[in-house]
Amino acid sequence: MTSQQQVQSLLKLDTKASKRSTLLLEQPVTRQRRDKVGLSSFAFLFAEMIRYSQNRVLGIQDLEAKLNELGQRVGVRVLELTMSREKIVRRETRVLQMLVYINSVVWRALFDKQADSLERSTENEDEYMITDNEPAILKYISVPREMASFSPGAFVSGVVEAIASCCQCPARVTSHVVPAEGMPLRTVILLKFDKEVMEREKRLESGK
Amino acid sequence: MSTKFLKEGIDNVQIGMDCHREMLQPGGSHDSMLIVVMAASFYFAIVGTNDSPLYEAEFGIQREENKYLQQFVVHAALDLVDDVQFMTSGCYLKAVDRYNDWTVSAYVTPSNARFMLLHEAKPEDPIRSFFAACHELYLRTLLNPFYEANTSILSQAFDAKVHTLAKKYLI
Repeated sequence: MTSQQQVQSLLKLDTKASKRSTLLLEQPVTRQRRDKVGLSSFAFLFAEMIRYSQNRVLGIQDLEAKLNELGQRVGVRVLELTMSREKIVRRETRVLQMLVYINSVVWRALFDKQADSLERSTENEDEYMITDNEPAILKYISVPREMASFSPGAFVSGVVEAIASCCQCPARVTSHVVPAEGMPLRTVILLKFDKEVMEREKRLESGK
Repeated sequence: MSTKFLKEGIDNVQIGMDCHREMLQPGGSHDSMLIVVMAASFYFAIVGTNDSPLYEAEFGIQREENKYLQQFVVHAALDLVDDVQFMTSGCYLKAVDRYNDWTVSAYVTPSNARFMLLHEAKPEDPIRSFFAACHELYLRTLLNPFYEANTSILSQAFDAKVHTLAKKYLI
């Protein structure tokens, strides 16, 4: 192929790409009636995500960090998308409102149900817990015994972490599997907010 | 007579504004009339969650010497956005800052990307609609799996769409 032909084929590719990206910017973002994904296909994808991450890390902590990172990519998008589908597009600036939003709207968008509980830690007032008794994404994951401390829920904690930091309430988010009777996969997402968030929260409270 | 008017007209134009001059001669008892049409200039920027600039655009007529000044004014207004955004839960923050004839309006998306628009005196409604339409474009860009959040938006389609919106609502 001569260089001119090459340039021309590249140009053709380029216009094709830009046509596609124009189409992308015209996609509807309202809720489709059938915007659900089969659990089995998601489980397949998620298993592959874990395997991919596992091949690139040395320890369990790194693996969780990697999954957390992947979850963060989802978090930013899911926040913007669910909010744009609300009646009034707004920002969540207060910690509690944001947590309630994650607990109800975000969970419903992701897992088609509300999270089972939202609690504040009795020991530390900057710690909150979101509990899911039966996390759908963990349904087909069985953690081998030698990796007992690994919690695949790190992906979900990444989602929550991204939303928290987007709402200007940065927090350290971790996930823990806490089995209860009849609920072996019960997962607790623990949020520990940064000091300045709690200080701001107090200031806003007293200002009102 | 007409040249005198013309001269006064030019003197009256403030620095930093562009003008078109147009002569009308309606005839009859009127002498020649001078109409100064202000062509507004706009500067639009999107600032990401970690304070990095994602996108910027200029609409209307631009003067070379204002280029950096506009960026500077918008940058300074970001501090005021930080103050205002906790007072309300709405996205549109109205005018947050003024600098001589310029006003800076801001809009914050739920994921804290800030849209800043520098403009001259203008009613609120078209600016609000412009922001809302840009928000939708930004949302669709964000949903693209190949777009990494908080990186600059290089899509030409996005750029073209924003310019169309500016033509529709602002200019």
